[in-house]
Amino acid sequence: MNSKIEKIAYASTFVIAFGWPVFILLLVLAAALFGSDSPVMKGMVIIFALYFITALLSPLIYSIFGVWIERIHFRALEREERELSDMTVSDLKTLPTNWKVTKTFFVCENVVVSNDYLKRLFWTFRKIVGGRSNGFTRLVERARREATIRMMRRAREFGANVVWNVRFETTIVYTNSSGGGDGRNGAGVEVFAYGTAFRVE
Amino acid sequence: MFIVNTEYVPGKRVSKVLGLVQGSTVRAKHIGRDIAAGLKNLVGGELKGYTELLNESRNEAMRRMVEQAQSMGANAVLNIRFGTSAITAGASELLCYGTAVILEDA
Repeated sequence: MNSKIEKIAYASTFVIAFGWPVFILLLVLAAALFGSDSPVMKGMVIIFALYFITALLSPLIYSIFGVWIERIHFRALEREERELSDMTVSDLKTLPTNWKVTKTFFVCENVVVSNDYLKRLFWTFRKIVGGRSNGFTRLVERARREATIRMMRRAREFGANVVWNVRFETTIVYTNSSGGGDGRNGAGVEVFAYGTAFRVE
Repeated sequence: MFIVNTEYVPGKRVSKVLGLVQGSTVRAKHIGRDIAAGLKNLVGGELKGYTELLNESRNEAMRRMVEQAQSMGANAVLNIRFGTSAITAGASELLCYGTAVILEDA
């Protein structure tokens, strides 16, 4: 879940958010050192204009990254679920009586996932008329599958092949700086999955 | 210390039930992590800072529960459950509770 595209997207948010003082300083420096008619100054103005347009269109850019990240995540989830398909996961409380258990331990894993800015913004308007939110449905699905996979991976790491009595817990996570001022929608969703892992022979 | 969220442990027998034990904690990340998560939040994806925060907090809540169980003389905590609530922005309360028991080999 730590793909290259995620790092690029994260770096782009950093540049767009904190680029203002750097680009303005460069513009002022170019004007002071080379004069306002020099080719260096013209180049700087073009760079600054490009940055300004990028910053204006940033929600769109974030959204493209967001959709991309989501698609990559779903593909990764499918791959990992196939890898872990030999494990048995259940939310039953009691084990079948004929199973011979050699190892018992507790496993728990969590994940916090968030949607991109535009999806949250659309939802603030969509809320007026109500209805189903595909964006948030997919978000919670991603989080739940990811938490389950992590829990299964942890169980296998310690030699179990069965996870029993699985419980899920879902929480909204609010950030202090929720990036865009729509903190009311919640920043992200946390899913916590826990269960008891057994080694069954 | 033996911790499970099932009501029994295969191959073991509960010899004594000592009662409910619990642990809870409220935690927040420092502002740098919050800003980083806020930026990450623009494009979506996993917010690692918050995953870690909640993970650490839950471990602490569990540790407190285990300490309480140990002080009661238990060697296992059965049927543990978790509770989470967002108290304010950037902070969550994590609760962990279970039943402290003394286990014996059956």
